[in-house]
Amino acid sequence: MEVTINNKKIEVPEDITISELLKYLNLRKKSAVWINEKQLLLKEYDTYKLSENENVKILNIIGGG
Amino acid sequence: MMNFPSARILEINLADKTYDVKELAGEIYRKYPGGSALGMYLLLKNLKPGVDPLSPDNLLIFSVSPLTGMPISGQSRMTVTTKSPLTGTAGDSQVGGFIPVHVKGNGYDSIMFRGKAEKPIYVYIDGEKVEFKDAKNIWGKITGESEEIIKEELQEKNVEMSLIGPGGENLVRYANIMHQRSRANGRNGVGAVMGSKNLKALVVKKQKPQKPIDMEGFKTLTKDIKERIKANEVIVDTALNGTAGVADFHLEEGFLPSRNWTRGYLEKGDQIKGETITKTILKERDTCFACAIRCKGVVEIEGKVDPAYGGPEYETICTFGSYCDNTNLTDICYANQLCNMYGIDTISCGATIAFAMECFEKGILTKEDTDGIEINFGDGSVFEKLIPKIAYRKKGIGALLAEGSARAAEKIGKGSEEFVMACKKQEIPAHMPQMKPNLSVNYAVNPFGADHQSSEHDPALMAPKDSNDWIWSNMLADFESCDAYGVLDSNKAKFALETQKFYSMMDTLCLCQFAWGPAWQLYGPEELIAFCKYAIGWDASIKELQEIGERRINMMRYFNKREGFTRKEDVIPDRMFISIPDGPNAGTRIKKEDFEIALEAYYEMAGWDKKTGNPTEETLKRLGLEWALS
Repeated sequence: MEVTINNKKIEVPEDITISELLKYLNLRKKSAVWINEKQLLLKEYDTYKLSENENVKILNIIGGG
Repeated sequence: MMNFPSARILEINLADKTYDVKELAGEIYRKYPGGSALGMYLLLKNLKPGVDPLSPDNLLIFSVSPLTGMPISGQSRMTVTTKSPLTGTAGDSQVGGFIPVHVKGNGYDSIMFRGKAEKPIYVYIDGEKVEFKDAKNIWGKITGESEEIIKEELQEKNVEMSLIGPGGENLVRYANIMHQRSRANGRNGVGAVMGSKNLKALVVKKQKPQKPIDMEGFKTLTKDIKERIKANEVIVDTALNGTAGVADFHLEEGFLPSRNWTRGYLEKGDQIKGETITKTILKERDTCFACAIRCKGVVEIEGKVDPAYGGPEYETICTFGSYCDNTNLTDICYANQLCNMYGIDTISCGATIAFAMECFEKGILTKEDTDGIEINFGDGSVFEKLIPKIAYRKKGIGALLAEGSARAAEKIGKGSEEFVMACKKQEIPAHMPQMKPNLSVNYAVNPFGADHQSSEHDPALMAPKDSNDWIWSNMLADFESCDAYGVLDSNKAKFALETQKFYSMMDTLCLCQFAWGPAWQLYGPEELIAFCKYAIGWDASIKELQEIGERRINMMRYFNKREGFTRKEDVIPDRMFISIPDGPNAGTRIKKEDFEIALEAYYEMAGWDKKTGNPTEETLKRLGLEWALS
């Protein structure tokens, strides 16, 4: 199915959860995720399943160094 | 209320080779509990305004804290405090490794040097015994060789030392003080002050570290350390790729400061990222006393790069890499080694060379000015030609760049000032305000120049609300969430101020900002309170810790006021307001008008006069600093 991630249309597997999506995109597990402009909690990452055409925003949480 | 431990201050007069131990009562020490705050307390009490930083009148103060040497990650840090020859402000720089534990183990919280030795010497401390040793055999020698000779002369291997190389001896304005060849009190030119005092090294005999007063309670913080690390993916990354791994993420997002900060994206940047280093040239990971994170990278390139001098941190990868448009990893690692051998700061050195590259590109510097060297962007082979010239202040390009980019531009003129990427004359570390806007405020107001470890970075405000990043940072104050890069408002000003207080407190308690912090670190604020309690019986609170941090910042700003600094020095280079021109986040920017509004908000919240930028009398009194006013 197709979803929009950070303004780009991307094909992802059906029923993919946020945790699976982050792994699929090779991103950190606690990246910040917004679905249709609503930010998810970490505890929702294993259960929230993406639907067709949803708008996803992901930001990497990068500290100092 | 518990009896807070008193502090023991070893005062050493280098001019007449005398010393004395003074005690600071526990009730006072609790307000300035070690490290950076204790150093500033001593500096403000003992240094008159207007002193030339490189004159014998300046002071050089090494301080640890009541927590230094406890058996837990991230407590082996030491601050050097002085008046900085680079910025002219209060000078402040931290180091890790093993010497902090043994300064404390010898029974001292602070070692303060006054005056200037008649001839080069080093000082050896073994408990109550303080010896002044002739340094004629090591003056002029690089750091590693000096270490070996000192151990041989003392016929003692069980020592740790902080020492300078030729950079400090030749008063390079960004000379550092090296420890174990790869750790540095890197910033603010503290090594030049040591050189100006003819002090080659501070050597301490290894001693037993101190123990917590409540070992059973203490073990609740340390017993599950492997699981704690495993559960924190940032720390897992840090243990795998070190700080070099930050380059990977900044490169991916397009916020890796490149080509003297004109871009955020570096073609072929993959060649210098942390993952590449780990896979190709990493020899091992090193650590500081009792720290389970093991963030220090040690690299080896046969025939070129000696692992004895460690490996490049993220900042060094950027200043000698992306700042200079250079993707040759060997050149970066060798530049890192040269800086560590000669004892000069890799951030200021790389950034000053990047400045020179832009001057050369624009025809402002020519081969006539550079001793015939073509200083081109993208050519890392110039580092090995330039760094020795800088360290020895060789007449010509060496002496010019040894002054740092801001003073070099004053001498060069011809519009070169536009290419200086520095705040208060200190070169800026590799975190772009376009991505982390609160750093624009922090870079501007930070009392000792631009620093990336003086506040938490903005991504904590983007984190999920049930993450440690969000929960811990909101223990300091109530912040609003943020969902994009480039946002700079009063919420960010508040974040800059409140997390700056926390980081300021950590530099006071001499804690590592990877192990302890208000966001992604190994331990959070509540665990720090438990640490204080189990270690020394201190019933601290977040409020008290924040106030300690705030007090230190205000002492520094008041010190700067005495030196004539005002709001007009609280500026950042115009280049920080440009839109990121290309890469994944092209177009991201912070607006100058938003910066000015955030700065006003910061002054208001900090209790500083908006016109002068200095702490008001009321603020100083609120923090118990009325003694400084008199």
